[in-house]
Amino acid sequence: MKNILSQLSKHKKATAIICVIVIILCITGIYFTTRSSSKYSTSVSNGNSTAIKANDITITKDDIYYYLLENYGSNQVINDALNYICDKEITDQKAIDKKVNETKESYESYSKQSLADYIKSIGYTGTEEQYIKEMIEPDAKQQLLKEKYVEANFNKLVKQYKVKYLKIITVDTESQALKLIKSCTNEDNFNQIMSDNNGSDAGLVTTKSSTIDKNIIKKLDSFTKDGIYKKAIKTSDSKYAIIWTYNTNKKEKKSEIKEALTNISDLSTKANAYYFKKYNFDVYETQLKDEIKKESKDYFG
Amino acid sequence: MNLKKYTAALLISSCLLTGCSQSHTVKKDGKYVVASLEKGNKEKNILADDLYKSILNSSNGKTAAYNAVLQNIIDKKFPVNDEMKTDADTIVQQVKTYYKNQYGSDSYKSQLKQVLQNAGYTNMSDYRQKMIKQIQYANYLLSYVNKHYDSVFEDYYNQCSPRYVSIIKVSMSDVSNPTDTEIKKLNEVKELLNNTDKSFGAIAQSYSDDDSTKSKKGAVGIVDSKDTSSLTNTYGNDVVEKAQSLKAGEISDAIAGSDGYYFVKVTSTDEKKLKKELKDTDIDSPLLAYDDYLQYIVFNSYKVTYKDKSIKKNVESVVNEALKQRQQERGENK
Repeated sequence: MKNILSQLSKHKKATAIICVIVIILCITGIYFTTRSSSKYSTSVSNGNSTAIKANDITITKDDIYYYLLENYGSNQVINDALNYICDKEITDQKAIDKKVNETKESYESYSKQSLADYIKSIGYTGTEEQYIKEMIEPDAKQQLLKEKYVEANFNKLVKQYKVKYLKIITVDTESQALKLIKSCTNEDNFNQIMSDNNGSDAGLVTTKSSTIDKNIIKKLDSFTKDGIYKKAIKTSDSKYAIIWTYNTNKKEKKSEIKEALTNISDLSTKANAYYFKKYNFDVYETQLKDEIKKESKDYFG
Repeated sequence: MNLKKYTAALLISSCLLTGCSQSHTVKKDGKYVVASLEKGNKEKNILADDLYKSILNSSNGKTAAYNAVLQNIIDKKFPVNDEMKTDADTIVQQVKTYYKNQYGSDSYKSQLKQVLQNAGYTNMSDYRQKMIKQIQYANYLLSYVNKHYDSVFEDYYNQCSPRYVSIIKVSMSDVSNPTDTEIKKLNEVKELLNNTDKSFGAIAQSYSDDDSTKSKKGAVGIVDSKDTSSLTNTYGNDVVEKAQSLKAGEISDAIAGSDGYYFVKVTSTDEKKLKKELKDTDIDSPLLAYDDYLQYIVFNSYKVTYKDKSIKKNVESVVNEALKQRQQERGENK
């Protein structure tokens, strides 16, 4: 009997503890569900305080915050993270100043007006110096970060994007192509044939070169030595391409190749992923993390 | 008694109550951390407060602040209701039907998917959500227009010269090289208009090849200088411009379009008649579309008080700039 009573008493204790937990969890639950019907889990300081009143409508700071998160959040998180990384990685002030000037000049050239007039035209109310500090310098530093990434990963990227220098002649038939390949003995000779057959010097070509026939792009790995490629390549429009490869020694053309690699469209994503992993970038706002993953799942380690 | 069992059950139910996906939050000194970076012993936290400020201070900051306030006003004053959802469903259905008729029931889905993606929508459901937002926005404008109908209509009448327009269309498979039958029909319509007493409406009913207006005696409805009904897409720019240049009662000569010839008549420019018809304003009303800056006028009709200075500065700057631009475009000076 004593045992039963003792067990009952234990049960009562347990029930009381559970009731307290239930109440706490309920309150927490209600807090979570009423704090906002938002899909977001974070909140700004004093998020429940009124930011704006419009007639009988009350808009809280969090109401504004959630709108900003939904429409600008993922981009801004990436930008803020990159700016932090740039501050750590890009410290050569001379290089920054040079890039800032170049960026400023490109703004002026693009808008065909002075920077002062340009910022006025877009409704910026600060000074030119403020605009440079707030807008141009972060842009310039992010560009330098991309260049730093290319420098650090030059050989890997050259391999990955299959960088080649090519001259290309396209003819109608395979027999014609094979005869020209056979007759070609040196570069001068090739240049003459190229000129006679409306060929062209394509210059630097990568897997991302959109103006080069996709069947030639598929064969980039085959162009390993300076000189003529011994086979004719059937192009996507059923013609035949003859290829002359040059500048296979990439070191001599490093700065040109670096510039070309930096301008490849998906290079920014690769560079960001590289530095985000280096700095253990993580996002705790699930909704934003999912959006950022859509841009690149490689941003997170 | 198994306390662990009870606790597990409670945790599950609490997850259902609070939402487990929302539980992964990190705080630093009582503030929410949205993201973090860490290298060696150095750590950088991007706080919710930092993100809020950096968005408002970014190059998009002003527009972001204005849009945030505007969307919150709309969401709270005109929350999504069943009627809006039904209207959005109707629009979605109309779009699907249009594409089904254009491309056939087998391939319309892929065509539609492509068009939606090109326009920036993920899928049809995303499009529907955007339509609901558009309807909410239209209700925001509509509420103002209804309250200030006299002044809005007067402004519309003065700015856009609205008028009732009717048309007769004579279709041609190749306008530059019409067939004998097509020329004969065109000449007959000209003859009837110029040398008989038969009314424009009656001629339209008998001869017009425009299916959407033929049964209505050629009546297109209200046409204005802003082309709020987007008639240019249907009849071409020349027809719409001519409709704007004629006086009440005047009929145009034959106007060559891309698929035939058109005769245009302005049946009335009567202000009272127009005002009466437009009084029953709905979301298709030209009064919601004639003024690109109406949203800012509506915004200013709210008595807005700001507790947050950065929001106030950004929002007021956007609204004032827009209204200044409106004045400039209208050649008005305060």
